[in-house]
Amino acid sequence: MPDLLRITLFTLGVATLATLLILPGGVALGWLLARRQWRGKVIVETLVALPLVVPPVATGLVLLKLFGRRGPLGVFCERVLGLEIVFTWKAVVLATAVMALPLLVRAARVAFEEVPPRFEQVARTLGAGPWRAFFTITLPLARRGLLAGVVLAFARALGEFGATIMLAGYIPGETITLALDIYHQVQLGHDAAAGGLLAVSVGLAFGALALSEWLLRRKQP
Amino acid sequence: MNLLLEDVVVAAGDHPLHFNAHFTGPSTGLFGPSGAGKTTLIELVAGLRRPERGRIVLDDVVFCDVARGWHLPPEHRRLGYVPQDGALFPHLSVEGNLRYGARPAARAGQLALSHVCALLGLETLRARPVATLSGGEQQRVAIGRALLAAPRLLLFDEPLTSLDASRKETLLPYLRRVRDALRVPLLYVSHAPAEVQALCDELAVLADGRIAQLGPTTEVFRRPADAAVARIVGVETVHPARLREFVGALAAVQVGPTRLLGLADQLPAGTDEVMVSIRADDVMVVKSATPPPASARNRLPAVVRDITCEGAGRRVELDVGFPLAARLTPQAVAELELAVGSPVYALVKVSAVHLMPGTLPS
Repeated sequence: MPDLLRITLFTLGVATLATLLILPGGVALGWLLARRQWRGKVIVETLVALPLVVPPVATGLVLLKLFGRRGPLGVFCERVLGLEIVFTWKAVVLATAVMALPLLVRAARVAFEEVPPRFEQVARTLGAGPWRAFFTITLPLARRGLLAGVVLAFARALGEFGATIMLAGYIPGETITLALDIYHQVQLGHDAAAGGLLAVSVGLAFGALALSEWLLRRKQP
Repeated sequence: MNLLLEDVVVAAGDHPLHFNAHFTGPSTGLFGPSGAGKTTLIELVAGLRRPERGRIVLDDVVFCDVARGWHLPPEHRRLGYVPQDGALFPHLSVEGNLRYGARPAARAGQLALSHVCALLGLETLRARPVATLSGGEQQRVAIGRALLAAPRLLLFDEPLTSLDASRKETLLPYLRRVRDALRVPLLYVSHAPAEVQALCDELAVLADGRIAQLGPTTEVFRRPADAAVARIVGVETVHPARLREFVGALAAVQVGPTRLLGLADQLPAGTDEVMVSIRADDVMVVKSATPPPASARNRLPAVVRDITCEGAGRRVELDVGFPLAARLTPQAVAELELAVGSPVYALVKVSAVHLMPGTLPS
């Protein structure tokens, strides 16, 4: 069934891209929230957490207003970057990325908070600049929590539905992910097709969790 | 060492700490009760904390000058910092920890990894993960890691505090070796008199967020600057007194109903209210009904009020018109048949009666 394979690969690709897209910023934001006091911290915290509590469809609607043809960011992307986003595969990446970001940021924040600042301070006195201290001390010590966050974000991106359907729609060959197609097939009464998609979804989720378990267990100090 | 703290002010808790000192070492102890600001001072020197005001200079390097907006980041200060718990990096092996800040041996003055390992007895530990080390071993690795960074100054923040008594005994010789073999200046935080007496040439006593006294270690213990310092360095008897007269080079003071003679050169002119401090080790006890013949100028009739065990010795609380503590051996207590209520004489040499200006600290 080439359709099922294509949709599966597309979903995996989109989820991977979305996770990679939010990884640097999400980790940096988690670190800033864990280690620094700054103006507007509470506002940023709330904004990042919002997609967790607002219905995904509502988040999708906000994104649609922002990135649509007449939305401020949509105009920016089209005129300056030459990117058309809504109702393309890029919209799927954007929607899943926004929905996955809070999970990554939260996990990163907790992971960094659990690393005592003492270790970084000692590294600094031993001649390490802030960046070396971060990459050789903080990051390795926080890696388990970060990894859990990445897997969680990836899993969220795999299964995102509400925001994606708002921003990307159901466009064959362009925006169809496993989650979107399950809904579509059920609507059409194609229960067997939906069952196949369901099995793949469960398999992917299982694989992601198993991979993270394996990574966490490996090289445990 | 030539470490200058000039008018350094930093907020810690509700009251600001204010440091003014010139440490010359070569090994300087920072001594004081917890909360006096010892760790804060170390962190200021290390650059882990920024003062609100003041300058910090080591030799010819300005670490910090708030007025000019200058703050040298910790990684450029070339210090060896050993915090209380060692803070070994848990994801690295012993070797990984040792090598983390290691500078090329040439620049470090032949301070090679193997040399440091031999000095601290780490040869057999090098491949071990740090989680498997005992507390004393962890501290030794932390010290080695600091040494390999070829520091201009070592900062030790109570490196023995987290260890039990027997491990302290085994680690202390290593610290002495580091001090003597490598001649790296040392700033050593502690609240244990035995440690600073064993390791430090110079001692700064911290009290209430300032440096209450700075001087040679033996001098600070023998001649505390004021009653607060006397209490902190553990002088057993500290009592207010009134200056009565000068008898040649001696000063006569009245402590309650009792007249004591002390050396007068310790007092600035015009002092009236003074504090007397007498170490329990400097008090002799004689069983006698009349003033015994002795060279000691202070022969005070006394009554034993209490006898308590203090380590291997006995602390005898005497009433000589004011409470006076004496430290005796158990043998002496037995031989003199001392018991609560025994009438005795307390003998104190003039030089053991230390007179300080000032009144009782509140």
